[in-house]
Parts: sequence; C-alpha cells; structure tokens
Amino acid sequence: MTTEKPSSTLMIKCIAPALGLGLLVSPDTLVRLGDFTGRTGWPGWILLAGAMVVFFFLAAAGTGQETHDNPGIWQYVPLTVKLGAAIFLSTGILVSAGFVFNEIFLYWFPNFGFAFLLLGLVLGIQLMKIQTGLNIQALAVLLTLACVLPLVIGGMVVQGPVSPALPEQFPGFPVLFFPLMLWIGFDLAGLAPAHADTPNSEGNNRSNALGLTIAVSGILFLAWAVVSALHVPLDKLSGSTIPHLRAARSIMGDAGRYLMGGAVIFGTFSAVNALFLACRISGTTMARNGALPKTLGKPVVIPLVLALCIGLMMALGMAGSERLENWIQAVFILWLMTYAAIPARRFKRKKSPIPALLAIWIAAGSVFLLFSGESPLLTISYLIIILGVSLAPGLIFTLASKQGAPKKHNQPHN
Amino acid sequence: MKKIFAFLIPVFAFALFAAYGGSDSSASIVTKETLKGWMDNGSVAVLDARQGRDWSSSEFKIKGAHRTAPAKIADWKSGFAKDQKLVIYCA
Repeated sequence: MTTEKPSSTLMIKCIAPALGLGLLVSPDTLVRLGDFTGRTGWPGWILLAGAMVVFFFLAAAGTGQETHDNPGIWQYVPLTVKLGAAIFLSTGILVSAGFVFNEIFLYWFPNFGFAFLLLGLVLGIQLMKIQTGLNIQALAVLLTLACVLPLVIGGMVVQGPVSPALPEQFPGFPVLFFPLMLWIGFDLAGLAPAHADTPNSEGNNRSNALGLTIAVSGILFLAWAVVSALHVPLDKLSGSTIPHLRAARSIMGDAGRYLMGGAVIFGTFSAVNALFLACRISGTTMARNGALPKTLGKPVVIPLVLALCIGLMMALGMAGSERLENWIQAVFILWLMTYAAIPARRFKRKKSPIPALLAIWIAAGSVFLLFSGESPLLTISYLIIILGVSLAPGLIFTLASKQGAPKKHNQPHN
Repeated sequence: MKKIFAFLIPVFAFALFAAYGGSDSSASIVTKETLKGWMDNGSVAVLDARQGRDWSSSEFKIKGAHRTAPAKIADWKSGFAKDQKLVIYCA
C-alpha cells in the first residue's frame, strides 16, 4: 500500500469522503435512521432531504476547517468532541459489533474478544502513517457500502410486504431535528485534504470533499429509509434497537442478515478508524501550532491513549451501562452545537440571513434533541463536564496571555 | 518488518486480553435443550440480565424472559417465589 501523498482528485473523490463517511456508516447511525423512519413514515423522507440541504449550506459556510482557524478558548472544543466520540461511541459500537459477529457469523467466538480484536486492528493501523490509515479507511467504507447496496437494490426490486404509511401517532415536534444527528461527523472529510499533493487548493478540496460526503450519505440514508419502510411495519422500526437487522432479514432473509452483519462490522471499523484518524490529525495539527504539548503531537500518542481508554471502558463493562448512551448523546449534541457556531460566526461578519437561520435551526435542534432523549438531566451534566474539559486549556492559555506572557501561546503546556 | 511488528503487537495484546476475559468458568451453565424443557413445564423463570448495549445489540431475546437489572435486585426479587427456579442469562 502506498504511503505517498495521493493526487487531489483521488483525495476529493475517495479518501476524504471516506473519512467523512466513517461515522455516517456506523451501526448507530443505522439504528437512528431506522427509528426515525419508524416514527415518521414517508414524510420523514422529506425531512431527510431537508436536513441534507442544511448540511450542504453548513459545508458552504466553512464547516470542517474550525480546527485550523479557531483560536481562543473555544479552539479545544472540536478536538474534545472528537476525542469524546472516539472514546464513548467506539466503546459502544465495538461491543455491538462483537455481538453481531458472535450472533451472525461465529457463535463460539467471544463477543468481547471480537470487540478487542477490532480495537487492536484499528490501533495497529494507527501506528502506521496517517496516509496508510486514510487508504484503509477508504477500503473499509467501500466494503460497508458493498454490503449495504445489495440490500438497498434488493429492497427496491423485491416487492415489500408493507406500504409506507403515516405513523399511527404524531411523533412530536423534536422529530423535525432528528435527521441532524445522522450527519454528525461529516466534517471529518475536511481534515483529509491537507494531505493531498496540491496544498494551495486545500480550501476547494475541502468543500468538494464535504459536498460529496453529504451527497453520498444523503442518497444512502434516503434509499435505506425507503426500503426499510417498504419491508418492515413502521411500529416495528420505531423503538427497535436493531431496525437495520430487521429490515435486512425481511429483504433477503439469512443472506440479508449476513450482508447487514458485514455492514455493521465494516461500518464499526470505519467509524472507529475515522475517529482515531481525526483525533490524530487534529492533535498533530494543534501540537504543531503550539496549542497542545509536543508529546501529544507524536503520531502514536493519541491513538494509544484512546485505545487504552476504550479498552478499559470495555473491560469495566461500560457498554453494559445505560449511562454510556447519555455520554454518547452529550458528545453528539455538543458536536452539533459546534456546527451552529460556524454559521453564527459567518453571520457576525457578513450579516447575511442564511447563516443566521442555519445557526438558529441547529442550535434549536440541539436543545430539542437534548431534552427529547432519555434522562436529559444526566445528558446535560455530561455535556457540561465535556464542555468544561474542552474550555479549561483554552482558559489557561487566555489567562496566561493576559498576564503578559505572550510567548506561552507558542509553548506546549501541561 | 518493523512496521509489521508495530501492527501485530497491539492486535495480539488485545486478543490475549480478550481471550483471558472471555469466559467465567465458575458460572454453571444450562443447555438450551434443558432450559427449553424447564420452560415448557413452566418450572423456571428466565431472567435477562443484559444491560445497555449487551441487550440492545443482540438479535436474540428469549420469549417470556423477564428483563432485570442486576443492580436493582431489591426491586424485582419479591416478584418471584423463594423456591422458584431462576435461570439468568447475561451475554
């Protein structure tokens, strides 16, 4: 496998979108999408398309470059949400992938054994060059899509047992914002173009990569929502913890289970690898800019710390705790809030109405989603903890610079 | 060669850890045939003690099993007779 910098075309069309699609093809996204489809029926497809447009506008507003030009006390928030997602979401989805492997492919293989093996595999890849990790990421996303696409095509071709209808109950106002959660992580596509061979066109590369990520994921989400609603009754999709497996089984029987099992495992690998890569790229960039201690800028440090945290959490049984879902929800909502900050900053500069509307919509969505989940108070407390961890280093830097120590801006700190 | 070792060492370390933590030999195990017989007789209550992802990620749920949280034993133990045979499954 080559470790040379790829051409910008390959980067835009394949590698960067694969990094952006990493989280978007994770099994948790499929669960959210299935639940959303079950709650909304066919009107949900319109909401999905609407959310896709919102994210196109967000990409145009400059999402995906916040780690490069966001100085001050807020500069650590994007990195912290990625680290938080890498620890909490990875713990959850690795364990889920272990169960899928155990229940679908090899019943005698311990589920936790598979989860640790997958984590070890990601860590092993992270100990190589970033470009190798990016290339493997592209392969993993392609394999995930290769497992899902036959199901989508099969679901469209084979007559489903149900006709998509309206849900029996009105799903409530917060459902309008549910699709926003599906695209969280799309901005990771913006981190990869710095590795292309044409650094001068990095801005354009980034926009194109983000646009392609949103388009591919949007088509995939819409297609999967349609086939799920055609093959599984809405009330069986909503509230199910495995709506994607139900739909796959209904479309192709046992073959569908195997295909979806493959999609879950490759999707989990894609999500965890993407998060590790994103933390690594952001961490090394910030360390190079003096915003983090140089030790953290070493390529192996962040992946090793992340793997240790995830390994410990899995070993301590955190995946068996309902609180893990609150941590994941807190991280995701904070991540969504960072998206609101970008158009808000643009509105401050240009006073244009579109960024203002975007910022208001996403901020309102964050609040509604926060209160519509399980145990919102617990989620809020976790969100405050994560925010506190994000802001503390920035505050220290700001205070240090106000006390007349400007040189510390370029010095690593502990 | 160095790269291959860098790749393989964490994979094997995690696999070893996983293998070590994979099973608990002190737990007594019931075969599915025996359990089915007990369930058919109605002489057993099956408790699904899986929590969080352990439960939500699984495709397999035993019909008629009661979901119970191990940490809340005080809340649910009174729901079963003292001489009731209980089978708990947690993974």
